[in-house]
This record gives sequence, structure tokens and C-alpha cells, in this order.
Amino acid sequence: MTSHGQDMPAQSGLQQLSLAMRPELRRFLRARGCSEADAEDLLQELFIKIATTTTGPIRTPKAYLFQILNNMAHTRRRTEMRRQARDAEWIGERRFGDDADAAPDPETALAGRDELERVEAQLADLPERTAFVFRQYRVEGHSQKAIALELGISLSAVEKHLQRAYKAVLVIRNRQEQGGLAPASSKGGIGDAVD
Amino acid sequence: MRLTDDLVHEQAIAWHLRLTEDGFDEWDGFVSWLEADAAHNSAYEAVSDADAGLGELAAPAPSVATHPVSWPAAWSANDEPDSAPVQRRPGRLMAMAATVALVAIGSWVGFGAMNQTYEVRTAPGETRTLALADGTRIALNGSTEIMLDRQDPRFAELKSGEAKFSVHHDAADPFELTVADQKIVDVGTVFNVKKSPQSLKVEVAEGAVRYEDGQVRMRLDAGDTLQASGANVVEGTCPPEAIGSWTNGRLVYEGAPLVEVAGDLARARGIAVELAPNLAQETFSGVIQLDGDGDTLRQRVAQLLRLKVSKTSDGWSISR
Repeated sequence: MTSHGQDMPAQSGLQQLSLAMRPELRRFLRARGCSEADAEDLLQELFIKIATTTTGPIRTPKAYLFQILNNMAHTRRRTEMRRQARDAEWIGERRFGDDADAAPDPETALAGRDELERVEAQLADLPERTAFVFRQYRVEGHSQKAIALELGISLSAVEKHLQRAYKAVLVIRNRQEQGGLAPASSKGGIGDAVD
Repeated sequence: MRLTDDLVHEQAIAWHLRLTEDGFDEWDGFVSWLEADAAHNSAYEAVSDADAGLGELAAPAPSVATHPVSWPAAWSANDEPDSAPVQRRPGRLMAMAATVALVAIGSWVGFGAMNQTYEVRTAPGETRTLALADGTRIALNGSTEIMLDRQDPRFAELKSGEAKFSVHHDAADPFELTVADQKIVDVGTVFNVKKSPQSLKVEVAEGAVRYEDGQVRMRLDAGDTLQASGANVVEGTCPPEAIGSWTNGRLVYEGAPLVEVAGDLARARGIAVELAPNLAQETFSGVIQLDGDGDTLRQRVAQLLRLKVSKTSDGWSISR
């Protein structure tokens, strides 16, 4: 096997790295609340994913793998929670429509109209600067550094604005989950993505 | 939400924000934080959920945006004209955000020149109390340098010296003190911070603060102290009433190295204090009243330390 990194397709390098990092990655998944079995599953899924996805050269491959797994862990938990919620609904004899399975996963979820309205209302209460920074970050997709540079404020000030905005978003989320659409559920947090 | 929940959520948001930044590379730190308490992962999940719940109406989390942030032209006179703003899917959230932003024009003129930091220094032996717009009071000991921000009374950076902070608490906008690459975030608080070239000492008299450096995040409650020298962080305790006692003209010590005592005396009186090398390991416990003229204080210190304190051209010399 040649050791010329450049000749090697990016994928196989990544695959090798993912194998070498397995213990570390498994530990991360466990910390992210995955069971032993789920962690194994996800690592396998990761391996396949990087084998079948074409990427350009990756500057920080280690971080890239963590990032993918982080998203996968999140998606898996959401899927699991939705499944449990559906089961709970069945037990509570309250049927979902046939299209329940077609509910989008959170990565592509269209926020419900109600929630969006609540977000709007809550963000309108934020200090103007905070709302502006949040918009630049979350809507326009600028990096914190770019925002700090442009506004001539410190990175930590940008972070503070975003902290505040996200807290507001969390508050809305909590309220929605508590007064959500699924009265039978004890855990809450399943009312999203239902139109 | 309880205070600790608040803290955990703040941390979760901070991690979420950092994780989505381009070039984030502190996964080990993130894992340590997750492993510290199962509640951390739940809080992080809640934040991710909330963010994902904003949906695709908003742009994906930032990672590739290297183009400059573009402002509405009206906001600042010297802004470049909007250079081909990046096309994003227009959505309700964006439209909403634009509305929110437009409301702001009146009060945001000159936003581009917002960096309004300024420096306050005290001479050796000079103390000074600053009152910030939010009700926070900062007592500066001698030989102290601090940066403040006219626009943001919740920010301070201690460059050197010692200061006691009595912080007006606002959970939504915590007071943040930066010292080099360390951060101290108040949780409703009176605390004292001393920066020497080698170390940082934080003592909490009331309430609590959060201490953060690259590796460590730690909560200090009333009576807790922390001394950080390089990567070495040592926790301890101290009677809360003794903390920042220099503001009342007293120095209170419990087993403090004489080097520290000498440094404090120098700062308080604006004199040079030399310590004989063979005394470097000695410690002192007790209270030193700072009032009186130079000779009175010198004799008092000599008695308390049971050492010789002699005058030099620019201060004192302490020896056996």
C-alpha cells in the first residue's frame, strides 16, 4: 500500500482515520447518550457514509468525523423519540395520520407555523442588537468572527448576544413542549414537525 | 429554571455555538463536559433541538461564510455598498428578522464604530472606585489596569493588579470579566480578582462566579477561592468577610506566602517592598490594618510578621 497521502482518495484516508479513532469516537457517542449498541451502529454507519460520500480534501478530518457523528447522534435520538411518541399515541388510542412516518427529520424539519410565530414574538422582545446579531448568525449564516469584525465588537460580545438569543429560543421550545400537541406523552418534546 | 439549570443551559448553548464554528477543534473538551454529568447531554440536546426547530427557513449553521457581513446601506456612512449579497432561500424567519432589524435603525447609527473600550489605571498606592451604568461597582487597588466598554457595562478586562467587583446581577446578561485567556462570569456576586504576572487569584465573597479557561470550567461559590498559575488550578476557601478586605483598609491573610503579603503592601502603599530570599517560603496569618503614616505602618508590619522591616530609598526591606 502506498503511503503517498495525495494519491489516496480522500475517502479511504478518512476511513482509516475513523478506524484508528474508533475508541475515541465510541467514547464520544456514549457521552452523547447513545447505548453501547447504538454507538456501534452509528460507527458502522459513519464508515459507510464516508465510503460513499465524495468529499474534497478536508482540512480537519478529525473534527469532521466528530461533527458527522454529532449530527448522527442527534438525528437518531430524535427519530427514537418520535417512534416512542407514536407508540405512546397508539397506546393512548389516538391515531396519527397515515403520513406520520413521513414526518421530516429535524435536519429538514419545517418548523410549525405556530412555533415560528412564537419565535418571532419572542425575538421581537430581544434587544435590537441581539436580534440583529442572531439574524446575521443563524439566518444569514455569518461566522461569529465575521460578525465581530464587522461590528467592531469582541468575539465574546457576539457570543453573549447569541447566548441571549438562544436562551429565548429555548424558552419558547420549553413552553411549546409543555403545552404541546401530545397530551399523552410524559416526556414532551414530540410535538414538533406536526403540521 | 433553577440557577444550576441556567448554568448548564448556558454552557450547552456555548458549546453549541462553538461546535458550529468553522475550525472548532475542542472535541476532547466537549466530551469531558458531557461526561461530567448526564444532565449536560440533555441540555445540549435541548439546545440542538431548539436550533433544529428553527428549521430550514433559516440558513444552515454557519461554516463557510467567509464573505464580509453586509449591512443595510443606511446604517453606516462608510459601509461599502452591498456587494452581491449571498443568495439565501427567503423565508419567514428571515423576513421577520429584517423587520426586527429595521426597527433598530434609529438607535444604531454609527454601529460600525462600536468598539468603545477605554482603560482605567491606578498609580501604585492609589485606590479608586468605578460605578458602571448597570449599578456594578469596581474597586481598583493600586497599580491596576482595567479595560471597560462604554457600550457594554457587562464587560471588563483586568490587565494587571487587583480589583473587587460588586456586580449587579442580570441572569439574561451576565457580567463577564476577562483576564488574559481566562474568563470569570458572575452569577450574582461580590468577588475579588488579583492578577500577577505568574498567576490569577479569584475569591468570591457573595453569590457565585463561573471560572473558565481553555480547559477548565468551574463554579465558585461564596468563600471559594481559586489560584491559577499556568495550567495549574488550585481551589481553596477563605472566610467571605475577609475577601477584598483591602477596600476597607485591611489586609487579611490565612497562611499566605510572604511574597504575596509584600506584593499587597507594595500595591496598597505605592512603595517598593523587598523580601529577603530566605523568607520566600514563610507564610503569614493575621490582619494588617493599613491606616496610619508610613512609619507607623512599617512598625506595625514588623511586629505582626515578627521580622525586621527597614526603610530603603524607595520603600521597605523585610528581613530576619
